[in-house]
Amino acid sequence: MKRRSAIKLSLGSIGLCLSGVTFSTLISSCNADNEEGWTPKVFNKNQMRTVKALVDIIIPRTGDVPGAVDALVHRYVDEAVSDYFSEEERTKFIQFVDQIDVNVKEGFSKPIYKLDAEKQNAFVQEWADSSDDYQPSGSDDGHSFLIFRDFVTHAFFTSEVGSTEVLNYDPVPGEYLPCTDLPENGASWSIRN
Amino acid sequence: MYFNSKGKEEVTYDAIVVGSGISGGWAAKELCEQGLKTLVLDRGRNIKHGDYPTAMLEPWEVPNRGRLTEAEWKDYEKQRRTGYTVNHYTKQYWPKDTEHPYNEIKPFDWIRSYQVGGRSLLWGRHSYRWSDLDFEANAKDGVAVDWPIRYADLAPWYDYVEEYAGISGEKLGLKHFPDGKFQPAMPLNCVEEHTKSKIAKAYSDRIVTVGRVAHITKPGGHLGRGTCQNRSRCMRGCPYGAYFSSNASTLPAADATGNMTLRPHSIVHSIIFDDETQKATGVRVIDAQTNETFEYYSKIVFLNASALNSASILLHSTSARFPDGMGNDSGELGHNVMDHHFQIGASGTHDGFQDKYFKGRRPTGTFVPRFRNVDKATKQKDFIRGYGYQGGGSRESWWRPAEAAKFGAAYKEELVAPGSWTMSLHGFGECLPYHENKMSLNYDKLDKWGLPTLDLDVEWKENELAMRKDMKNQAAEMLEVSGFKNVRPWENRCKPGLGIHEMGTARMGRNPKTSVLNKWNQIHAVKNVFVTDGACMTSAANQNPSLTYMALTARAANYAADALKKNEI
Repeated sequence: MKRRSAIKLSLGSIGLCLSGVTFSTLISSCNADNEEGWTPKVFNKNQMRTVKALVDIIIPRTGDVPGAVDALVHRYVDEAVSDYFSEEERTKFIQFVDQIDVNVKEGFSKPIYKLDAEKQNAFVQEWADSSDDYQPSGSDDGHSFLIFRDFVTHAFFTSEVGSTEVLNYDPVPGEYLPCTDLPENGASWSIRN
Repeated sequence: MYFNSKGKEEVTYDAIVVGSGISGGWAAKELCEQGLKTLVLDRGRNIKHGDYPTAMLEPWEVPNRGRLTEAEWKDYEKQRRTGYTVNHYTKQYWPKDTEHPYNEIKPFDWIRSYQVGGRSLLWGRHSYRWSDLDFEANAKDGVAVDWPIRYADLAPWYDYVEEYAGISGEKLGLKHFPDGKFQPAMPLNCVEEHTKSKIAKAYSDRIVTVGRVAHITKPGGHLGRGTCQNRSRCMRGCPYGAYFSSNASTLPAADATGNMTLRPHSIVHSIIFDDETQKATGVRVIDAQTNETFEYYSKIVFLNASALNSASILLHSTSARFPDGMGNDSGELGHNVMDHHFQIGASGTHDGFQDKYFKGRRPTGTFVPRFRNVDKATKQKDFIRGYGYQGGGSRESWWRPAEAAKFGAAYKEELVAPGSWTMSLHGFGECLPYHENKMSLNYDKLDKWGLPTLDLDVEWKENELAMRKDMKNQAAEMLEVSGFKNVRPWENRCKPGLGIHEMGTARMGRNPKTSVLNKWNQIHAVKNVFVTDGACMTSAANQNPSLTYMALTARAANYAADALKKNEI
């Protein structure tokens, strides 16, 4: 009896995953600035557009392979900053986004989401290569680019789109095959051992 | 005051088992199957097999992708010290430190689990027999006291528990690392096979094998337990029952006899001692939810509350006969705390096998059995005893560190593709029993049930620290020899307790003046009280100890049932 209920649990989970495919197909039709029916919890409109642009630059769509915006990573960033960050972390993060905006406008006279791809990349490259002046004073958490990039990276690869459409997803492998050829799509497994 | 509203008959059993983890589950199963009406007490809530709500969840289905927030972390300040135990998927299985305090005279990471099934739901599942190299070690080295048993006493019980629990592994034919009744071994991946053959060529005394783990790999497990699905999400609870836990295995078996009464939320206050008969007559219990107190009576008591908690109950069971705690004539109760020291080893990367990959997440890695101080040829001048290596090979994925300034399409493509093959060797070393490594009860700091908290005063000493140097050096050397690049010896913070193998607080021995338990795990002076969890261990060896707890428990429980039938206890 106990075993049967366990199997039911597993089928239920697979059902969820299948329905997720439809969901992700829907959301991948979101274009760059269409956020209809969704309101950020913590960012104002300018901050949200800035975050979304950064997320897109760091992990873009490549051909048919979804990127971070397709995976709604920008929405997750908003949710995490709103619901899971401490008050102090939240304040720092919002200051960081505003500082990015100020620095972009200083260099290019426009917000980052209105720049063309070349200028966006130039800005982020400069940020990545810089000694870090985007952090609120007194912070010693490391380079803001690395913190932000790694946050986005984790969010992307642990999203449903990242896990199941970009990487190879295998929730119940059944057997362990110790030495196989590489998968045709050349991608890694998504679930960490 | 303790009183029961029910009649004494209703609260009287043949046996009481305190705790339902790895060893308590076995005590329950064996005693019930021997026909004894058995009350199983656990201080935590009940968890029925299959009731694992996070088992199938993915990161995008849970808050914050499974990461705990700073506010959540605050409740688990000590339980989180392992770095791998507490997360969104498992936090329901760990006690909040804020509710279950203890006191660190010296740093000690006491990682507990208070629920039916205890840490059997969360354990590492590595299962290795001890040998006479281990059972004779104290006598040969003149350390502490001699074990009152030898491998021959335990070998048939290892057979028995292995067959039932389901241990997968490879036979090696080593006398100091005995083979068992194994289910088919899990296979090694290509980089591990490579390492195995290189090590075999380079060393006459070292073997790389696959970890022997308590996972069913052959259909037909007892009680419908299924085979391992290679999900490697074991710590969330296994819906297939593929790894051994009390919840999936021994408790359902005990329940099937009709002889078991399971009472969760039952904190044992103390064991009741009767001066006239010089025996225990039962236990005093505090209901963890209502704070009501009860007494339960029985002919025998099995203590399986985990090493520190079992000793705590005994120390708290004072009487005119035992003013310093039940069975503490020797003064050794609560002393000789041991654990394994680890968090040290080496890792490296391999340039080869770039066109090879794997499928599935095998829930074990490689194991290198002890090769130091095994015989004259392997005798070390800086330390006695030895260590083994866990570890394994794998191929990196998106979680690997990327180049600092990278982003964009190239960054994404790099992380999506499999990275380098890596191999790690992670030492687990033996810790000696030292009388001064001890726990004691603190009556100035009571917990929320009015019970004393524990003061833990334990440290690694010279032998452990000398062994660690060798553990690190040999790991690096073995990886170099096997052709790995970027070989990095490493060492992390490792304080006692972190190995989650607490042992030794009520040791077995031949002499009542220097030990707490006899060769049948009975308290020398209270023959109807048995302690068969980690508390009973006279030395620690270097192997993961749970399989030995299982074998000792099954042996003691069958002895107890038999002795009871013969009116000997």
